[in-house]
Parts: sequence; C-alpha cells; structure tokens
Amino acid sequence: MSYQDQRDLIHTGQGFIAALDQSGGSTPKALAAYGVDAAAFSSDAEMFDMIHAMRSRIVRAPDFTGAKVVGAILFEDTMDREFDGQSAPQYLWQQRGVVPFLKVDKGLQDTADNVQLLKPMPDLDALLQHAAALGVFGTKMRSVIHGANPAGISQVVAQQFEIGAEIIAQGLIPILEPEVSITISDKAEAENLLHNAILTHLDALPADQTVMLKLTLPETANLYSRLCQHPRVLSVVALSGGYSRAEANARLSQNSKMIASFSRALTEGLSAQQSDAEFNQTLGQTIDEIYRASIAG
Amino acid sequence: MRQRSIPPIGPLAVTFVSLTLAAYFIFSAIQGDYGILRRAAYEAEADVLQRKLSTLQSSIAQLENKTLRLSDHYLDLDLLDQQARDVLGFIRPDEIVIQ
Repeated sequence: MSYQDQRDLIHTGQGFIAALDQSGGSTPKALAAYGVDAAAFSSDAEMFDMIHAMRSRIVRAPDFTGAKVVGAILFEDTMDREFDGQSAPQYLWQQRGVVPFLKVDKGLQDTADNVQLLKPMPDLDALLQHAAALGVFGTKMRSVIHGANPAGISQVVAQQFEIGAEIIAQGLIPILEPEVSITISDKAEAENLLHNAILTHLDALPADQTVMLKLTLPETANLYSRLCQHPRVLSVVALSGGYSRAEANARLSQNSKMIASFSRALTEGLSAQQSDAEFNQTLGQTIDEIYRASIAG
Repeated sequence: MRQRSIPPIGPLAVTFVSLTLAAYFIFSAIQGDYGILRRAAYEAEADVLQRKLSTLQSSIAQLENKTLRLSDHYLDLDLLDQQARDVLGFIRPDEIVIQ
C-alpha cells in the first residue's frame, strides 16, 4: 500500500480521523478511568507502559481499521513507540490501513488581537525528517481564534501556511488547524474572515503543493464547501471544539464535504477489566457512531 | 358708608399653592431622584452593567466549554495538551525551555 493509496484514502474521506495519544492520557486519573488504580504501578515508566498497553489494545481492535478510521493523529511519544514490534506509524498503516499523522505544535502563545498564534518550533525540520523516516504521512498544528478580528485572523492563517510550506518541503502533508472558539458571539463573522483568508493563501499555493484543513463546524451550513473542492486541498476535516456529540453530528451532516476529526480520546467506556470481546465491542460502538456521523454529511 | 374691599385671599392662596406645587413637580421631574437627568444616569449605568454581564456570560461559556472538553467522558487531547503547557507549565520529555 503506497503513498498514493494514503492520499486516496484521505481524499475520499469515508471515515474519520481519530486522536491517538499516549502521554495525553497517561495521567493516573485517565488510568483510573480505565480501571487501573495507582497501586498497579510504582513509577512513571510503568505508568507509560500501562497506558501504552491500552493504546495497543485500541489499535488492535477489529474495528480500528481504515474502513472507518481513515487516519490517526499521534503525539510524539506515541510515534516513537511500537505496536507488536513495529513502529507505531508503520503498524497503523501496514497492519490496520490507518493513515498516521503527527501533532507537531508546541503549544500556543498568549492571546493578542483575539487570537493565539503557535509557539515557535525550533527543531521542526529534524522532527519532520524523523517522522517521515518512520512512515508518518502528515502533521497537524493548532492555533485558536477568539474573535472576529481581521488582523488577528490573517496573522493566524499566514503563520499556518508559512509553517505548512516547511512541512510540505519535508514531503509531509500538513493539517492546518485554525480553531474558532465555539463560545464567541461573533463566530459567524470570524468564520467568514477565516474562509476568505484561507482562500487567498490557497490560490497562492504552487500547483504541486497540497494541504489539509481542520476547521470548527461552521455556523453557516456548507460555508467551507469551496475550500473542500479547492484543487490545493486534499481534505477538510471537522473539529467539534466542544459541541456535544449530538450537536457535532447534526452540524456535520449539514456540511457535506467535511469529515469528522474528533480530538476526543477513544477511551470512553473502555476498561482494563473488560474481556477482549467486551473491549472490542465497546470500542467498536464508539467508532461506529463517529463513523456514521462522519459519512452522514 | 362705603364698605372697605377685602382682598380675594382664597384665590390668591390657591394660585400660590398651585404655582408652588407646579414648580416643585417640574423641579422633581428634572432634578429629582426619578427625574430625567437621573434617568440618563441610570440608563448609562444599566448599559455598563449590561456589558459587564455579557462579558461574564462569555467567560462562563468559555469555562464551561473547557470543563466539558477536559472531562473524562469528552477529553479533547488538543486542549489537554494546551492546558498542561499553559497552566501547569509542563513540557514533553524531549523539549527544552528557552527563556
């Protein structure tokens, strides 16, 4: 299965992109929710191993395949680990048919002009080369928009595309994620400004460059359909940003070309004490629900 | 014998009282606690309080959004990563802080 197969799978978008993080869920609290209490481990290393065991169980589940989960966004720690003796990105693609992405941002700057820009990423090139060597297909980086401020929004989009160009130069596909906060009163106006800014940058992209976009589900239905059909865009994924699952699914179905990309951990309802059959069934239901919402659009 | 004319005290008194009351009510209508000038002040104050209220409501909505996205049954990993960095000052094992 080749690079072109990965592009086709993402482009056709019959499924959703999941978030798969080891350290994001490696807090004792997350382990407790999974049914592993603090007495079960005595060091950080053991804790990481237990969380990784849970991750391994998720990725080996029968439903965790490219048929429904077209992509998985890994954090750096997960990328450097292995599943069944194979590097995580290669295992995901070769064994499960799931396209691996890597979250590369290092946090956000303070709010200015109603937006939060990305913090500098000093060793980005080295990280990208390492990721490419491990078989990662693309990256993801998130900034946040807190208001319809034209200056702020154009800065966010310019920074995303500038770093995106670096990522493309290393042979990876960037997911540009300018998240619009769902609690702001001028969300619709901010989304219009964002749409126009992105369109301007897309039109300026060279013909051999492609990006992906991860955007908050908009107030106006199908606002981003022009971006979805743009020749320089491989796929546009939807970010729920805090909408309840029901509202996110409802909005998703109003935006026909967008596919879901839920940053939520897939660990809901999973437990270490469950038998493999119960574990796989619970995970399968979660995956199926998000999958149906994603293709319903 | 010519009768001495008694000044019409009644009407004068009524007129005086009426004028006094009118002046009082006009003054109250303008300067009084419930007068026009005070109403303008109240409206300005109401405007300030309304703006403060919507600011508070907006920050409540933001906090509720963050609470939801960091709860066990939702757990938005992007926001978790952001808050761990911003609030707790955590960084990842292979990162260094340049101040």
